[in-house]
Amino acid sequence: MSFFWTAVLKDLQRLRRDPFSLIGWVATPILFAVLLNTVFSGGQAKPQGRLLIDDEDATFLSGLLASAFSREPLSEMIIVEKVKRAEGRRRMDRGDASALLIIPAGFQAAYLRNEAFRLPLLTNPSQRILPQMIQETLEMATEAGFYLQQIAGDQLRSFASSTRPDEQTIAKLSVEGSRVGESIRRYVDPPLIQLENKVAPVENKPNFTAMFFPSMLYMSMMFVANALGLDIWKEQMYGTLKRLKATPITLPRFLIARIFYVAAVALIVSTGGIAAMYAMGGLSARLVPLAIGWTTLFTVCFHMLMALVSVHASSIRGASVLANILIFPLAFIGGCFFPFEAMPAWMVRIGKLTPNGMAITQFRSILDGSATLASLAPSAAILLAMGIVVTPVLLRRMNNRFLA
Amino acid sequence: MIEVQELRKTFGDLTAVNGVSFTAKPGEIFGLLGPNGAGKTTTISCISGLVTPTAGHVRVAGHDVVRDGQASRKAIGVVPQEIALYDDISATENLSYWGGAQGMRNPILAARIREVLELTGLQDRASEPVKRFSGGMKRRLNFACGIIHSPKLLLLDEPTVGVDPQSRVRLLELVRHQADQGTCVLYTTHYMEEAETLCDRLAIIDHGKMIASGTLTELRALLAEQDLLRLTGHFPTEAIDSLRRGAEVEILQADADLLLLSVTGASSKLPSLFAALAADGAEVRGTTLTQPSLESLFIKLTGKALRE
Repeated sequence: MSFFWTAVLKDLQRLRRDPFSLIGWVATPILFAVLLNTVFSGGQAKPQGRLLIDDEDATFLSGLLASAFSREPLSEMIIVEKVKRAEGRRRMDRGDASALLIIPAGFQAAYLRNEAFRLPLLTNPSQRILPQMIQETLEMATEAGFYLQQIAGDQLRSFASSTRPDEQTIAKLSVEGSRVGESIRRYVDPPLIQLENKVAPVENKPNFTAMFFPSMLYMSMMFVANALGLDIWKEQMYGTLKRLKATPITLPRFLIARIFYVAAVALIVSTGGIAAMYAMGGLSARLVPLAIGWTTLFTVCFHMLMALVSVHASSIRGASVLANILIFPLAFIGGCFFPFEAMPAWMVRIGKLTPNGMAITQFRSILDGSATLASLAPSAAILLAMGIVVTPVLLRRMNNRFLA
Repeated sequence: MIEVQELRKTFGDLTAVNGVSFTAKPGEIFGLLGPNGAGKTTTISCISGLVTPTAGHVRVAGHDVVRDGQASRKAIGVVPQEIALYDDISATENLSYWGGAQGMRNPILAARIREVLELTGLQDRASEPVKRFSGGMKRRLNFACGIIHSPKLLLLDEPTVGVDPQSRVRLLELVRHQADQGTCVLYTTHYMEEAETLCDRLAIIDHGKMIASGTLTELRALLAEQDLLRLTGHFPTEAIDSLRRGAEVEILQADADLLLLSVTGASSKLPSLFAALAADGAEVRGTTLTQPSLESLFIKLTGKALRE
């Protein structure tokens, strides 16, 4: 077994002895994803209130008024219940309903005679939206009644004066109604705005888990890369880096072994994450290897960057702070906290230039099946170039910082 | 086995090692003795390839450590002053890693791990994470990792610092065992007793310079059975001048409040010495008499105690 594998095995053994560090790197973003999913996709229920109506008038018009609250979309939110006044008051006192509407006796008669009339509406002060909606609906109904009175008041009054309209009266009322209709037709028909009612095609609603999961996976991989980058500091603190320099193993060989190890960890974590995505149906089986390979490549290259950042600090604590200063803005702007779809366009433009933003964009193209090796090649080349450029600088810095 | 010629190492304006030369052969324990900051660790670092010498040559098993570092490092085992182990993995896993770093492969490595664990008395705890080990056990494992590849030259940089007496005895036995197996051991310490009991030959270093070297007998001969007498009190110039004129004592250091003298058979001469000092107006408040030893040699050569 060559030194590469001995070193990789040693680091994997270290990880096996302390698996909670790995779980911690991965769990934080996943917990974040679960919380977001709960917050955003758990909101299917609409607010629902209860309107109590005491219809003491019990006429055609009072029934019509009460039925205004039973039409959609209000009916989805408000349950209308008929009660007696005393019971209604008691239930309101208990906070059992959003509002109590009392339609006193004489409502229809007063309306038809065009006389002022009071409709008491008691609202629940502990609720805000539903009582407001009930009040506005009632105001709209009374306003509609007012205008109807202005347009067809005579006809309505004649209708009210006869207790049981005969055939002739009904015919007369119909003719009158038709004339009124004709007189206002030029104002309302044709309407100034032609509305075309189209039923939108039913789309698959975006699943928040599927939407956020790639972001969360890449945030996890960033944390993994960062933690593994900080490991160089641990080697320094253990004194093992210096001890290694007294062996025939050169620093580049040590670093290559580290890269093998980081790749192994990235492979394990990304396989877990992508298998979960596959299980959720967000990925077809043939794309799984490509998705894992891409994520592993990103993690290894990003690890090199984070390692370089960490060795510029004066202590492991400083390295951790420095890494966080870099990693959180990168994660935020690079689509790892929120998907690009939820970000302003200017931020997306910048975010897609970051290593993680570029990687996650390509990862999404793998998920939706639009990625090809040719389309991935430029981004892969940029990530590899980043890793390759960073390597000699990292080696020199490690040598000067830890081994001089 | 090891040849060090005119070794020099500077860090900016600081000269840590200045012209150190010595040789040591297989089976020999060569001690580098000196106070903290004397240049012992820098010397070891130059030999092990941790730092590049500014001047001079170091050859290990015939290989120049600068020009042929890879080959020379294969011949070297290092036991650093600070414990350098992965404490989250087991003793076996640590040994496997350090053996692998020295180019060892299974099954030879596995057999050697068993051998070394037995030698250091860690075989019963071999699969436990090192962080559960006591300080002494960690020291022994630190040593084991240095000898896993049976090096021709073993560099031990103050391996017993902070070790309890029992573990220290065990470690010294292990060092002696390695030398008996034919390993050349370069041992740095500032403990005189360790150097006296363990080392076949010694070099005394101070301020980066080698001020004496040889076997213990040769070094003791430098003192010529002279005792070291340290007097504190008040010593006027006349008293010091008067001592200088006498032939019985050698003045190593003379201050207004301290006199450091080298005297043959000091105990019998103390009354006359005190009387002469008193006659010249001196006042002796404290007296320390040291028999000939490495400690007294060091004081004689440098004018200060080793642990100062």
